[in-house]
Amino acid sequence: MRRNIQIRWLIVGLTILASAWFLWPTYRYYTMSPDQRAALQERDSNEWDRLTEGAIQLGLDLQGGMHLELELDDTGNSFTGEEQSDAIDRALEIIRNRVDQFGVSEPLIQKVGDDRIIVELPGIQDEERAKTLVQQAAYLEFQLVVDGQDAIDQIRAVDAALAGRNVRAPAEPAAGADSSAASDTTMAVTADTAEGQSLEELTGAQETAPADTSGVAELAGGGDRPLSSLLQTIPRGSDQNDFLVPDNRVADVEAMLADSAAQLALTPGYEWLWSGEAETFSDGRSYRSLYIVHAEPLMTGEAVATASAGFDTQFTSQPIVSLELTADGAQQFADITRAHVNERLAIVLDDVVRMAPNINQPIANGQARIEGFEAVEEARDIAIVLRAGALPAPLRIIEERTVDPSLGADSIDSAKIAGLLGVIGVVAFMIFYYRASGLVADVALLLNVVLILAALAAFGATLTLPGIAGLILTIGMAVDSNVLVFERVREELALGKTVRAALDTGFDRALVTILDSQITTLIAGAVLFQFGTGPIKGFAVVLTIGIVSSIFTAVFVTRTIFMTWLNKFSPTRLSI
Amino acid sequence: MMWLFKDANYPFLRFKNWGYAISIGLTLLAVAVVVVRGGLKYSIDFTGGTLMQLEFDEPVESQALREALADMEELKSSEVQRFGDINDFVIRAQVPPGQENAFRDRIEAQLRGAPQLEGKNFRVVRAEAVGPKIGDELKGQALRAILYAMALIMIYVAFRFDFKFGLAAIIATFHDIVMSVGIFALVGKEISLAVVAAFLTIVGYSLNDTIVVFDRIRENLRSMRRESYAEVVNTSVNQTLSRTIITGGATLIVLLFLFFMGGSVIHDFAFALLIGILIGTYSSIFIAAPLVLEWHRRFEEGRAPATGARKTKVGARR
Repeated sequence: MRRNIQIRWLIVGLTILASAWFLWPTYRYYTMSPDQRAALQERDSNEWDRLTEGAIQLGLDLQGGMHLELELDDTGNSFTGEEQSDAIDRALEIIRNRVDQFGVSEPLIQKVGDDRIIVELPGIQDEERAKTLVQQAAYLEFQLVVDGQDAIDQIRAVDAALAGRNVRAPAEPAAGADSSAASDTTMAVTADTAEGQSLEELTGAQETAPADTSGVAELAGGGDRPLSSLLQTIPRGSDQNDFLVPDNRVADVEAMLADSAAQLALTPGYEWLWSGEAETFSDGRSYRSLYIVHAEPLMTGEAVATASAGFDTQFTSQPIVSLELTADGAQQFADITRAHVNERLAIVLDDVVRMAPNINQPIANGQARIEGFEAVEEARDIAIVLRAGALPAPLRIIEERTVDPSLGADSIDSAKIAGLLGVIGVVAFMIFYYRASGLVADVALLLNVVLILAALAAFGATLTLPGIAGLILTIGMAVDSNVLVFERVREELALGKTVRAALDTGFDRALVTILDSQITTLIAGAVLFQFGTGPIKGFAVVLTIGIVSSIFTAVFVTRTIFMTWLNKFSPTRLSI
Repeated sequence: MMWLFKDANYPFLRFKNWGYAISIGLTLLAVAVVVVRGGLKYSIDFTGGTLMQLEFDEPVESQALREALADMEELKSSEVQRFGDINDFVIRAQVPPGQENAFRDRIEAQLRGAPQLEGKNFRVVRAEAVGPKIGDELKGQALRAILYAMALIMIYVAFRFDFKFGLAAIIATFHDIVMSVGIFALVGKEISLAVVAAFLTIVGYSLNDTIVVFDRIRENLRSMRRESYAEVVNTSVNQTLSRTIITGGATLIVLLFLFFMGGSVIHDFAFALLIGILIGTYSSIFIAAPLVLEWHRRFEEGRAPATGARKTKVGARR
């Protein structure tokens, strides 16, 4: 008997020691100030890794951050099963690469099912940026621009095709006071760039060129020239024209170009592409450029060895991305630039023309650059995605959840208070109702909380808000086992049994009930774990661990305490 | 020694018809509410759509916020709702997939420029977007999860006890879920992922309660050989009554704290658990145990060798 008790205490002691061991990193991590954390990370990255891996991590709902679920967008590509699985694996690798370079601490990037990826980025501040980084296909293409008469012919052909189908340029969206200001659009654009001319003037077509080529009349009318009526043509250099579309008409033009007749009118092998950001001219209106390019790229991102962000030091001091080409790429680029001097080469990223510079002379040094970034962050992100490589196919975001760190902190604070008050309430109730025995149950209860946290740390589980709720719920439910035992002991005492006999019978009889009843909650927890994602899974984990550990503490630990007490004092009364 | 129910001997089974009537009535009411309201209210977890939570620096009238957004066409079908704290609002809307960000940006711009909210700063503290495909999947998953859990538990109970206990337990649990969902519909709360998790937990908890009673019935069937089946069931319910109430009470204590002080984000989750545990406790006594007796009377009476020739009168009625 005595020996039996010693073994029991040994088990209890070892459990407590193990808990302390597993909880130590958590304690250390969360008592460190941010400065101390930064200092440790700097000083000893190995120890830092051990610390962060050992500590209980907080879920995104508690520490703030972004959860994304992405799906391979296979419209346009028809993947076979194997190709798809391969594409997802590559996408996973590339995203991991990008996120690492972006510098997010403790990201989680993981494949779910056959065609989905979950990305969790804790502590992300700029969600827009992070999303672009993860999602961007980063497919870089160098495509030759179709210029000169050829381009004008294309537009006329599309005009004719559209007119033949009675497609008209829709009236300009009502812009209120704006419409009067729009009347001198062309003039303003002209003043800003070179001399602006409508397409009709350029081609010498006389028949419909309205006297008032500028402003509302031209934009809204168009008659048999639905497309070109929406274009502002800005000549650049000898044989090249920029075609500008007012930002608010881009959708109209896109609709026209998508028309089947319009598509047939375009010479096969050509395609339409847009510039990215709209540019504001001195007339106060913003325009996007429309390009006709050769669909077949002359070179792709595969030729890029590395990319880095910086500033243009020579002229504009604008942010740029410098591309360093591979040996093959440099050769290819030299050939291309030699063959196409005085033509424009569009640098196209994900089907958007970043820039379309004129090739002034052959470039043999294997260097290229991309300009036109709003901010250096954008340049930096583009450099990252170009370095990490292109995704095999674009990814579509199908689920997104972002929590601000401040909301997470509020949640933790509220949950802490609720949990603390809950524990105090239950502990007080147990002492009030079961007296000394209640105190024993309370010891078990608190040990139970410690065990759950230790188990979370040991399994590397993440604590989420529902997880904390689960922990608090477990506090309420964990007393169940002790209540079962104590009620049984009371019954036995009422039957006139001795304290020792009553405790023995109470524990033995109650154990069957406890196991039977807790196993059902365990089944629910397991199903919940299977079903849930993220926060819900966290809840399931805590609930499941809580049940197992509560059986240990409420049955094994409390019984050990009672056995010791019986042996030491051989009591005749039990405070229960 | 302090007793909550000293030598309890309440004739619970005498009220079983009341229990059935109340439960059936409430269940029908729940179904009616759901039908009248045009189905359950699901959160964007299940319908797809977007949600944003705004936190203002100072208290703002919800009317001002609604007015500021009044001329946004897409917001016709959306909802602006105060959320927990008086400075927090949640805006939900159904937006075509892929346009959630643009939509949220526009709301932000609209609010920043609104005269009604002049001088009130806010931050977006939560933003969610769920594609319709994911929503449908989650709905299916949630339903399957609850059904699997119930099926597995029924098998377990049938295996550990016998079939009638398993059936009674599952009917009682099903009743708990339906009632909880009904109350959610009644108060107009949304069914979200977290709420489904709470329902699953209720499945576990309610069964836990039921099994404690069943366990006692099983034990008493062996020891109380002379009493009728009804007496055994009634005695068992009474013997486990303190435990049922005390455990339920302890769980309620923590849940009340969680509900009132746990913060806005888990408010509904705590609410679901709260009502689930109340209903679960009720159903163990008034639904599950009487159903076992019912089955026994209907199918086993007169040919139950294990329990001998028991009379089946309610003991308390003698």
